Amino acid sequence: MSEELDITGLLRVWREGEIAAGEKLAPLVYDDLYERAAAIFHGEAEGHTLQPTALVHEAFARLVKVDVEWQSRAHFFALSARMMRRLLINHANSRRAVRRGGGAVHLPLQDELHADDVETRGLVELMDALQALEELDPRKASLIEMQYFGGMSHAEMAEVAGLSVATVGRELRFARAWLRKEMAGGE
Amino acid sequence: MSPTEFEILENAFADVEALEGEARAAYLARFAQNHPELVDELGALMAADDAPESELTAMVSQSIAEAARDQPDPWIGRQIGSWTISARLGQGGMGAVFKAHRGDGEYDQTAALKVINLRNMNARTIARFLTERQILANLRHPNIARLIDGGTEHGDLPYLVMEYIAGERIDRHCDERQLGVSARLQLFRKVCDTVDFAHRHLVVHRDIKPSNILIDENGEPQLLDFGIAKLLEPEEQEGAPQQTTEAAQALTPEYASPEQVRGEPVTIASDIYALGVLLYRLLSGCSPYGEAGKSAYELQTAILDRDPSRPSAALSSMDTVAHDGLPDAIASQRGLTAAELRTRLKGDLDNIVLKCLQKDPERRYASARDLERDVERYLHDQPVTAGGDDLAYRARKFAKRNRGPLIAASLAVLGLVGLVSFYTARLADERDRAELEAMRSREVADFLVGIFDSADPAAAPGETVTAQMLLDAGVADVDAIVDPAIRGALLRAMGQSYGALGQYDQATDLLDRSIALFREPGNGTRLDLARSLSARATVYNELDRFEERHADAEEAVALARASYPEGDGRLAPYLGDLASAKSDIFDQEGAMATWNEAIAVQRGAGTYGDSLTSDMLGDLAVAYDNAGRYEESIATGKEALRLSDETLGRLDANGIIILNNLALVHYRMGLFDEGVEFARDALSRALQFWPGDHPQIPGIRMNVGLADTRLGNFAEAETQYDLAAEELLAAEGAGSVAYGWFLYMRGAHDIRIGRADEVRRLSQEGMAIARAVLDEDSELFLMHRMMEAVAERDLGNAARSETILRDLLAKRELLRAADQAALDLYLGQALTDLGEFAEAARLLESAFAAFEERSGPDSVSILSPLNARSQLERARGNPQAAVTLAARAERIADQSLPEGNWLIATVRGEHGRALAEAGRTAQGLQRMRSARADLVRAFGTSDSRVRELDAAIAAAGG
Repeated sequence: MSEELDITGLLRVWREGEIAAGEKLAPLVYDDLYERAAAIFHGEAEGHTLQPTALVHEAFARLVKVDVEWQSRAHFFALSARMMRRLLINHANSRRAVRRGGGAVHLPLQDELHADDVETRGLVELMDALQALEELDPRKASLIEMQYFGGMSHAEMAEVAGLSVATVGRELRFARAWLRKEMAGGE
Repeated sequence: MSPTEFEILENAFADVEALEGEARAAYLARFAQNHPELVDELGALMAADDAPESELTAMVSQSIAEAARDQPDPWIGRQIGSWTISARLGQGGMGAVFKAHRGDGEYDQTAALKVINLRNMNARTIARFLTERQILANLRHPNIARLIDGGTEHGDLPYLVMEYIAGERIDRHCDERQLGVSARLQLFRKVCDTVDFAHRHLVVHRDIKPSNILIDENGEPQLLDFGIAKLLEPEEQEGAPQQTTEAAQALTPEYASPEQVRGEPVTIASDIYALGVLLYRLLSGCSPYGEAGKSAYELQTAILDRDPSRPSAALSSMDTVAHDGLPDAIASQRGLTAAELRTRLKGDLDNIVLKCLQKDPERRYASARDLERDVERYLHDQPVTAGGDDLAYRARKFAKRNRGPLIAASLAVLGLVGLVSFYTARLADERDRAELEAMRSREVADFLVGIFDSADPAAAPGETVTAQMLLDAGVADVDAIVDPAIRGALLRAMGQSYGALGQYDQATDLLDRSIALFREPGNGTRLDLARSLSARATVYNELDRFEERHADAEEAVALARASYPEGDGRLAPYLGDLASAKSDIFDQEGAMATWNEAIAVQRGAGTYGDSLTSDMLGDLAVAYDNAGRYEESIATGKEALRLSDETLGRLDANGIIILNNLALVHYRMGLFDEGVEFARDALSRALQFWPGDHPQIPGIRMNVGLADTRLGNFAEAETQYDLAAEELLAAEGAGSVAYGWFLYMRGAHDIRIGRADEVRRLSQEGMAIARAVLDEDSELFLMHRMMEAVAERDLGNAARSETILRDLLAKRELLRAADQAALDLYLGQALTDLGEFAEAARLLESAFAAFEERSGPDSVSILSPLNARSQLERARGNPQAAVTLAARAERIADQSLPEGNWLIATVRGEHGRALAEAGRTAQGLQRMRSARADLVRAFGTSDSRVRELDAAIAAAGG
């Protein structure tokens, strides 16, 4: 009952600068994305794609439900993007563990076979490259995060990052090129 | 890499990107000199910049799938009730489906177990879940997967266990077997039949989609999850705005109807919509709104706002996208080429699908059976009902809003009563249990009443007999419901349904009982009583029991006032009903005041401008008209028209009727030229809106003709009268009352253009009809008789005219006030001809006073009595008095009518004769000549009025 009110309220105070509110929101969003992704995968995935854009928009629809200003929505998307990334980092880490043969996660045979394919390696590389970018330029890393894990528009990113839309475009372009270069070099 | 190096690279990247050709080369050379250690990095960055943008997106998507797949399924092996989960079958928006087993040593059973994912679970939602489960358990059909079991685990995890169907999704079944279009349609018909069966048992599926329709080993479709989605619906809260809800979000977006996306109540029409999406996919292999990469959010926007492309066109548009070969692949799954498939879909199949996909539920097929039949007609090469114009739909809507005697049992009514008996039995069993049960039964009642309320007799065809039987059965059962508030609400709902079916005795009986229940202290709320009173008032209205209707409406308003805060918008409908009731007991002042209050309430509450406002303003305009407050009537009518056009669209019965009334008010003010524009607008809309044989159309035509006659547009008027005659003869026949009134209107035209002998014939035909169908005291007979008298006088038989009119004097009280004045006028004119001036003067003065009182001192309507009085004054030798009267008439005519109009000519001719007889010969002759010219232009030289003027001109020495 009060869940939806909480989220909307948290979203507002968070946007107004109260960091603790974001911290309260984060696990809710993380759990939702996690459940949803797992559920979709285990199910038929009918009518759904695993695109982050879709997942994040749906999480918003499920968790927030009410109409909020688009700025608040942008902040929610940014948070979701961060949670999505965290989810993937955790996953990438468990991958690494499996590859080293020391993972705690039991995997069925079919997935063992799958574990070494290109895409999975790509994920680990992407996460590492993004981590490296974050150390050099946190703002660019956060823009990448919002675009690729949150499916956010340039205007939404500009709102959350406090930048002009033109700057967002410029920064993203460099960040993308840098990530690709980094991943290509890492092979 | 250091942050400094990173920054250098970023700046250089931006610089290079802005340069081209030699400038770029020069920059790079300079950069290589200054930063040899970074030159490779910059080159790599620029190369990476050229890579396609989708690469990263694809990688992220893939990674999420990876991450998700790695999670072991926590459900496998769990024990739910007496069932053990063995595998996951699927996952939908509302929960997960598992394969489960039950074994007690005796026998093993396999089933599909569905765990319902309900947020905010509480006692109320659980109770509802259990109730719904029972309805579904009773739904038995060979093509519906049966509900076996269900309950809540640990009291808060609802689950349902259904027959396990080993089958293949309908779409994949069709594609893999390469079924042709006809085979697919045959399968689809079975699905429609099954859905129709459920609708008749009052179960709406709510989530029809391919994964819920499996084809079993016998090739029979099996429908899963009937009504399950209902469990996710939010409970309705009175007055609370509906929000886009979790339920809508949870449903498969592709198959959700616009009303589901908006979170509005779901009806059978929503299933029809989903059937349309299914058919779309089975036929074209596409989704109505495209599919690739659409988020639920985007899809919902499309469902609400975009018109789907025709299935045949959807297949074409794929050519242009990056789907090389896909249309061919889809077509070959149907044993056709892409071009052949397109041709096959074009036309009827496109129309059938699009009719299902209408945004407005009322525009879809009224039932799954209707849809099934249309598909069957297509398969048999018969014309389908989908497509073409929407007259039937329009007519239905009209009938609905006019609450006319249109009777068709709706499916909702059909199924509803079956449920009454079902719930009754359940409630009787479980009444004794405590609060939870009370809550549950309350919900049951709300549920049932909701269905009754939504029972729109126009929305669905059906067998009246069956509906009747079910309703009767419901009445027998309703007494078993113990809770008086619930019984009262059900009695009200059933009373309303009987009312909708035109069975007013049963309706009043049930509503009496409902009201009696609610009058007892402690039963229900004041609003419950108000609603029942309101419902009975509606039935009384149909029975013409206006006083009782008024009493009920008045009490309902008092109760509503006591229940809602002052100025609450929900008061307005109660006030509107009361105002109509007052109007029908001839309390016009009270009616107008109440309508004005209702409208003020709406303004205050911010609800002004809806269709209720438009209805009330339309009625208020008529009330103002009846009260002779024409200016206010016109202003109000125009506002009603504006709102009607806004809320209902230009093509709607409401607007047509308002326009017609606006025309008539203008006519009453003598403003024929302005008024006829409204009538013409009404006619042009009516011709587009109604089927050609609609009874309102000839009436509107005659209202156009009436003004055209007075405006001198005789040819146009006659065209309309001729068309009206054709329509009436076809629709009603030559012996009908409607045709009798046509003859009167036609006669009124003919008498004005000087065809008195024709009018005599028309009036005799009219009287014959009245005698045959009505009697000699009927208004139709009396009006024709009066017209006959006028014709006789025009033909020179004043004495015969007098005889007829004196006969009518005896029945004067049977005529409307305006016609009583006309009778005085005509008799006065006849007596003038006969030289009985004293009585003529008395009659004409009284007639004139009545006309002036009614239409105002400057109205065209008083021209006739003024003219008649002028003639009388001339006849009895007072030409000076005649001049005064005729001058006034000419002034009014000049102001109100177009230049050269025959009515101006008539009064000008009279004025001229008066002037000439008063010795002002030159002025008189000038007017008479001018009038003669206009009359000749209008009627020709042989018209009696022209010949009379010729004589007068000669007598004056002209």
